[in-house]
Amino acid sequence: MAKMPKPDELLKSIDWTPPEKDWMDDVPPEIKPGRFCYPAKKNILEEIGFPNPREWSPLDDDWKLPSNSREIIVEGIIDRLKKYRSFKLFMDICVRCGACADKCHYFLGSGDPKNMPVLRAELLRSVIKGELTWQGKFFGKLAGARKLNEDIIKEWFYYFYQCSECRRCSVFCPYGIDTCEVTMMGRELLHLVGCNINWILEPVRNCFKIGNHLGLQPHTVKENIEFLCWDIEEVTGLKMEVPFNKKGAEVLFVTPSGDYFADPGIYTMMGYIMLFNYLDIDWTMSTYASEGGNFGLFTSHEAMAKINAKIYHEAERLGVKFIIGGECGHMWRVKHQYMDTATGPAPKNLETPRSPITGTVFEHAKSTKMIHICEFTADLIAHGKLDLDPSRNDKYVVTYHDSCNPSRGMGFFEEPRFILKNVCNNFYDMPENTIREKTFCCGSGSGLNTDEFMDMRMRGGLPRANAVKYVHEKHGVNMLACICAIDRAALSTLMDYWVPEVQVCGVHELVANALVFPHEKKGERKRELNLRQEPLKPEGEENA
Amino acid sequence: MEKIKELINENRADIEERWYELILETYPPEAAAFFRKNKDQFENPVGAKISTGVIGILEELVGKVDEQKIAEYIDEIIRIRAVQEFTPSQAVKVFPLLKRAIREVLEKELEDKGLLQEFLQLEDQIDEITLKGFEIYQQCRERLYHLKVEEWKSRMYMLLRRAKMVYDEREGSLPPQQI
Repeated sequence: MAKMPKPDELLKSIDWTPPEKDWMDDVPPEIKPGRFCYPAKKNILEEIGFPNPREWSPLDDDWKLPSNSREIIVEGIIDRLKKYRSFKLFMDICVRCGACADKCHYFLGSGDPKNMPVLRAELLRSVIKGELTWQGKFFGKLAGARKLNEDIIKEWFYYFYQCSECRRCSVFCPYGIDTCEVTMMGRELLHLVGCNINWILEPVRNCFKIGNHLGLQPHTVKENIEFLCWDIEEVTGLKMEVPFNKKGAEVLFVTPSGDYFADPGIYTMMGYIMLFNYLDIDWTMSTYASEGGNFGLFTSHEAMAKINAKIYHEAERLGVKFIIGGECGHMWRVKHQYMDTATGPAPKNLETPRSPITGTVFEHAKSTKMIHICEFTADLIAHGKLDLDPSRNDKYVVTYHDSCNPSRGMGFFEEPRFILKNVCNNFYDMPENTIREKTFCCGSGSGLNTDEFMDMRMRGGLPRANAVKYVHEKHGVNMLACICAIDRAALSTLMDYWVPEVQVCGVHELVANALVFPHEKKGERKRELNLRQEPLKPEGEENA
Repeated sequence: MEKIKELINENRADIEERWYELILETYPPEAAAFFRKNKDQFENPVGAKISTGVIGILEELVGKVDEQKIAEYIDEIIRIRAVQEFTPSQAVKVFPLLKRAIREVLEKELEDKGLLQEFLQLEDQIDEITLKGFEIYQQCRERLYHLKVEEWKSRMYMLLRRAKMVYDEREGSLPPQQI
């Protein structure tokens, strides 16, 4: 029988102080630097054809919204309620049980009640009630309803861009309400009146116009990767081949552009290159489909589908058999949940992915024809196709961060761990309630990894950093591996603030460190450096 | 200071509780209720870290004050508050709140005039902790600005590298003006 509280305990647990202000009246929010992202530039909105392009700042009193904003948004709500059953269901079904309330990393770090997922959804739900139901129109605030006005639009902008769409709350919701999709709808509605952020929309524009988020032109993509090949040559003594836009190749490889431009993503990129060269498979990269990431996911379903379509177009043009995708977070949510219906069916030339080395057929991808590099590598290791020397990673004590989208978006838990346990000798998981489907977000997901949002990112990342700190103190963990490009960038900063002793890497960086090439096996050239060009062994130990 | 330390030691649990409570009152009531209720250090890192700081600082205060250790406990609390919705003075206000907690819990005992000197010394010590708290707060804020710059360098790493403009430890090269 559950323990009954004693009367005095019960009395103590009652908080008699009324809240200072009802949440509904607490608008507009006090907007402070460090807690919001800069708005999208006028020319960017013009180029991608989004409504209401203008110069404005969330710190201004006048946001230069269209005079009929209310009508525009209410129309948008009606349209979306008709189109998406999930949205209609999520708006109807919540019983305010509060199971999600303390599961959001932004709430845990900030203590701001409007960061409780239930309340964040209520920001939208209350307007739907107030504008579209007779109960709401009649009883107003009593029924938890309110009419849309400019202050509420400001509140939405503030709080729908303080959700990283990580879906941790949805794991705990007894009804399975996906607050991430509520945020998606909130952001779509805000686009209708021109309230959006540059950190998301400029990459979207770059992707439409040039091919990747960073806006790297074909020759830059190629030159950067050549540069990385020279680095690999310095470490291994081997010349690497990276085919571009090769017609008739078996595999098209697509990865986020951060992997070949940013530190520490480049080391993961070197890992992919070394693996494909080791296997000597027939692969190609594309300078057109040069982005695995998809900031369209954080914008609207149309933008997401448009960006994703490029990958299929290129797979068709090049005539490849299947697609391998690199270590990216939200990219895999798109591939797993939306690619099939948003941009499918896959071009006819694509076949169900089949590993050219082990013959394994990846049946689960027979519709999308695209597999995750970690599935591919884990299968190679399971079949003993890779010669690995895990002691080359001995200077690292590794833990693994389950990136939100691969873990909660596609149930991807074991493959990366299986790889890590085979490529390094020191691996420790973080506490159970902070990993796998309960993993904590890096605090910078869904296009919020920008520097002007630094305070919120550090708050939101606290629960993750706190668990890393625990394994750092308990097991001496000094390397945090992850399979997401945003994580590699954002967690580096997060660690630097909370646990500076811990570095961040991708899984394939560690794979490549451990990979023993045939000439190395013969002892022709000993590997002395890791991909970061640091000595392989911990300080004080000679390279054996 | 022996007598007042003894008194604090005897009433430590009450002072800890009162101080913790006063700190929680600086948060919105809904958040404070959660920070108070959930004792899991991973599910409630803010509550847990504040609690560690509160217990640690009081322990140091009544024992031999170890500067290094006390700074670590101050850091536990301030590193969080430096990125939350507080102005600098609100962020470090947690330490003056310790004075209030002690005065409230030891209200009767402090009527003893003989304790005055010791009490004033103790308050001086808490003032020192407050100043240290401000120093750590400032370090945290500086760190954030440093991280913004570092993040941009990492983001543009290949561009800077190819333009031979990286001159940090990753490359081991010299700043351009020294080449």
